[in-house]
Amino acid sequence: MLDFPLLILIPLLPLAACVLTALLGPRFLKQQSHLLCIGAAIGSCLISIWLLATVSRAGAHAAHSYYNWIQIAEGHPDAVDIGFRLQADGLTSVMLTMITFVGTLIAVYSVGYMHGDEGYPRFFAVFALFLFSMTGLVLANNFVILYAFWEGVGLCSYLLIGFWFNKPAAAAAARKAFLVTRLGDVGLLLGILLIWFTYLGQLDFEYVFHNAHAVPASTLTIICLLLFCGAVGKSAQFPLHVWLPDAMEGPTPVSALIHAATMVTAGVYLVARCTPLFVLAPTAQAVVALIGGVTALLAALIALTQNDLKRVLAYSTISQLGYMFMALGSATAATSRALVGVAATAAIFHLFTHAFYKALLFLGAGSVMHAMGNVIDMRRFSGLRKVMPTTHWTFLCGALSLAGFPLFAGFWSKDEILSTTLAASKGGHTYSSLYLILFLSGLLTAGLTAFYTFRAYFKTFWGPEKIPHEAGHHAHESPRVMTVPLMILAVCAVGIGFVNAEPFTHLFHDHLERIPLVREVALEMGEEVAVSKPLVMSLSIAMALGGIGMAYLFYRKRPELAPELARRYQGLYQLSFNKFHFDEIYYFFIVRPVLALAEASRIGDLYLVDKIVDLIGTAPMMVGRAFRPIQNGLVQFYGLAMAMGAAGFLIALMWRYAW
Amino acid sequence: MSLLLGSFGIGAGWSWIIPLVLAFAAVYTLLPRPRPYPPVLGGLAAGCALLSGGAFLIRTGAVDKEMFLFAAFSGISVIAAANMITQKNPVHAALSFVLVVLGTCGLFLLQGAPFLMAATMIVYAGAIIVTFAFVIMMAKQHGRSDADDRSREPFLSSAAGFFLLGAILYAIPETSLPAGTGAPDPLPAHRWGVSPYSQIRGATLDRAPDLPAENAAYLGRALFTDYLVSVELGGTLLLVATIGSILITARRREANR
Amino acid sequence: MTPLNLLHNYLVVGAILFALGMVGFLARRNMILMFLCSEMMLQGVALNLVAFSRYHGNLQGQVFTLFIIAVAACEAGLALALVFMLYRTRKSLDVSLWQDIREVGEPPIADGEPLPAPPEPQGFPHLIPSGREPSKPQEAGHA
Repeated sequence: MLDFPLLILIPLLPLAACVLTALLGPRFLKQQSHLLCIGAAIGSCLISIWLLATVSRAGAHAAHSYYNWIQIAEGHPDAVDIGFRLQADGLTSVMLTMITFVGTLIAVYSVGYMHGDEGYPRFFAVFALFLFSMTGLVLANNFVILYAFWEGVGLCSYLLIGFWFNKPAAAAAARKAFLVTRLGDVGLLLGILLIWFTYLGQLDFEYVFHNAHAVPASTLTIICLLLFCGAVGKSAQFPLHVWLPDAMEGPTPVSALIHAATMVTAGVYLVARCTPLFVLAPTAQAVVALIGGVTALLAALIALTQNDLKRVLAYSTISQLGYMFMALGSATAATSRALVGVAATAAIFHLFTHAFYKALLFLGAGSVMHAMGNVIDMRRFSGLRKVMPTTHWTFLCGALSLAGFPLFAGFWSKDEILSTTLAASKGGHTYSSLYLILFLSGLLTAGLTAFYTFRAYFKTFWGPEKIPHEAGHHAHESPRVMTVPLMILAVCAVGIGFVNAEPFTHLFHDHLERIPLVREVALEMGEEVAVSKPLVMSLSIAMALGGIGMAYLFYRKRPELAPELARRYQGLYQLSFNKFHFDEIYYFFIVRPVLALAEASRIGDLYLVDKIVDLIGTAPMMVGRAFRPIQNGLVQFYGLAMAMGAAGFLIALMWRYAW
Repeated sequence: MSLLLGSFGIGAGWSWIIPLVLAFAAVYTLLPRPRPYPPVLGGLAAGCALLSGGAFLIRTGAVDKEMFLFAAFSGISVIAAANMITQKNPVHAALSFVLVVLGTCGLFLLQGAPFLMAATMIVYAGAIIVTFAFVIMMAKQHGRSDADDRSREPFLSSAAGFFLLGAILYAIPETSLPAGTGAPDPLPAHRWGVSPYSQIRGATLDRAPDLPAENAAYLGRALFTDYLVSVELGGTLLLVATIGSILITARRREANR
Repeated sequence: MTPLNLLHNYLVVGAILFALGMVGFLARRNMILMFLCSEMMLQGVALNLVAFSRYHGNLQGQVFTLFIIAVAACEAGLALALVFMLYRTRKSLDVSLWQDIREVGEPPIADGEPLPAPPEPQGFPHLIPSGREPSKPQEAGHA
């Protein structure tokens, strides 16, 4: 347990930047509002790197309690003890570094992308607020503070998706995102309440994880499933994935930061942080893995036919998140101690690399959109590799990484995940066949991923040069402030995988495995399970190259094949193109009844409640109208009224005293 | 009055209500109306009221000098008052008021306040009523007018007035004042308040003070020592009232021109 | 007569004067008569005060009465001036004409039955001047 006094600064610097930008931005800073935000992001990034170095060197865990918020009835079963306590171990430090580094680069990119926008100060204020919430989320040391920051990131997501709130589509998308994640948050809250109830008022991570084995398995399963609900909502897994594609209505840097690198990974962080709970509930883990696998395949199938470049990337994000949950679900207790550590590591490693290359892809798409005059439909432009060379090369790096091309970052992490899933299917326990099916579906999804990624790449950057008329004179390479972050991210997308390129380097694994709790849990498990690494590697390389080859065939060599195939299998094509009709189903079964209920309430309010209130209002009026004739303007009548009043008073007095 | 009532001996002393009710009926019928009740009804009721009231007063004890004077003066006052409020002609009503004032002045004299009697007669009957009469004659109504021939709410106003009177008449005997001797109250211990100048020397209730003329002297001394500020203020008030009434009438006259 | 009864007698007379004055004030519609009745109420009060002055054996009541007279005089002067101004505006001394300070929307209170017409002046027979011959037979029928 070491003390890192600057821990509070990591969330506080962006918060200060947010407040100052909000106060000073609109009047004084205006188009210079990015300075505070970028400064805060760089500050947080430097402190995070220092924290990473400290934690990895000492191999320990920094924690600090800043404020005792609620402390009621200690020792009593209904006790509540919530304090603003932050902690930083290996997992947190890695996530902090990733968040702040990618955040800084995206902030610099936004200076160019959002240039001239009216809401420029507002954008950077909410951006800084988001950095505050996200860093706070990963730094939290108990469930309530985590939940508070969870809501914070949800709020910032709403504010940023609906940034151009005058556009009805953007406002609707923001609302949809907020409401759908809300559904997940309800589950999370119930989970936290159940933890409070089970653990007799303690909500700190350390206490909960240390005493996990004392809790009955059924309760633990329910807790884990409820916590996973929150993750499903926030990380856009089936069935709550419908908000993420619509969230592309927001500005592209927002999509890059929130919906690729950071916010949607909050769910993965939560499940990873609660690994000590999940390993003791194999059913819950099976559910996690299953939903992850289903989501991965589902999203990949939908991405095959989308024409909007950002939508393709959104669905690929959903798909990759599904991979991460698949890995987390494979950290099952029944197999081996090493597997627990390896699986959790694989998921976080994939999260880490995914952040870089997905952010890169989104920023590249933004660059294309910026040049094409806000047109992002791939059918309307092509052959951009000569027009925008830097964007083209960086996008290619990101695409290769996403597809899992050998030696790129995505290759190593995807590989890890597939091998843990295969390992989980061995061991002869209850769900082993499930994990085998998941492994096979993961392979298929890898191939589909490579296909649709390069479909997008070829459609955008190859082919005859076609520029939409909205581009005007914009159709040139983006300014340096936008291309330099792209280049930095491209370098990361290529090289970052080497920190954990199993079986050659194990930096990540070693770092994360030093999390004391994971190590403790892992020690109680059985023996090592052997997985044939070369087998998995060759299979995944085959799928990746196969996917890329198919894309090349369909969109470069023989472009007439694709429409032909679509026409032949019209039913399947339509199913994929319409996102499997999820939106329509939800609208029919959920949204419409709620709207009907709202309408009924409105009519009830208008005709029932309002009328009652009016009635209550008219009662004094009636009373007043009854008393009005007393004021008739005649002086003698007033005098008479006074005399009668005196007479009444006298009666009262005499009654009281004289009788 | 309690002795009077008690000596009548019937029941719990409620018989004094009879002249009250008769007087109420008399005043109610006599108040001006467009189509008046025959005055004989009101007159009859008034006569009965006076007779029954007189019966009360005379029933007990012998009528001595003071009592007789008291009865005479108060009778004049009450009858004139009743006439004033039921009279249609405003000039007659003003003259009835003069009679009321004369009766009250007599009562003042009986109480040993000769100066007040003189002052009231001169100021009230001499000045105020005369002014009233002037204005009545200036604001002459020709023939029948709403102002004189109608009453506003005769029943309710009579009822209110007589109910009030009944309550006071009921309450007066219930008061428990210690028996007064007419001798001066002892002076209070504190510094402010009345000085010995306010006390009537040698006065008891059975007889008037030694020299009635001393009343004026005492009154003067008390006014200019204990109540000096009030006197000055009263003078100022009179001045202001004079200026005020001239101003009210004068300005409008010029505006009317 | 014990001293207390004497005091009570005077109080009773004062109360009667006061009550009659109040009835007159509330009932009569002639503005001047209303003020006259209020003066009568003041008389009743003065009688009350003088009685108590005698009862307590000091001059406080009489002094108070003097001031009441002074104030009554001022009040009468000012009141008559105002009444005269009101008379000038409406040419009538009826207080019921002044009803404007009533609730908005309420109708003014009007009198119910009309005043009966004044009796016609008795016409004296129209005699022809003596000594003159009636000029036409119709003129004789005029009487």
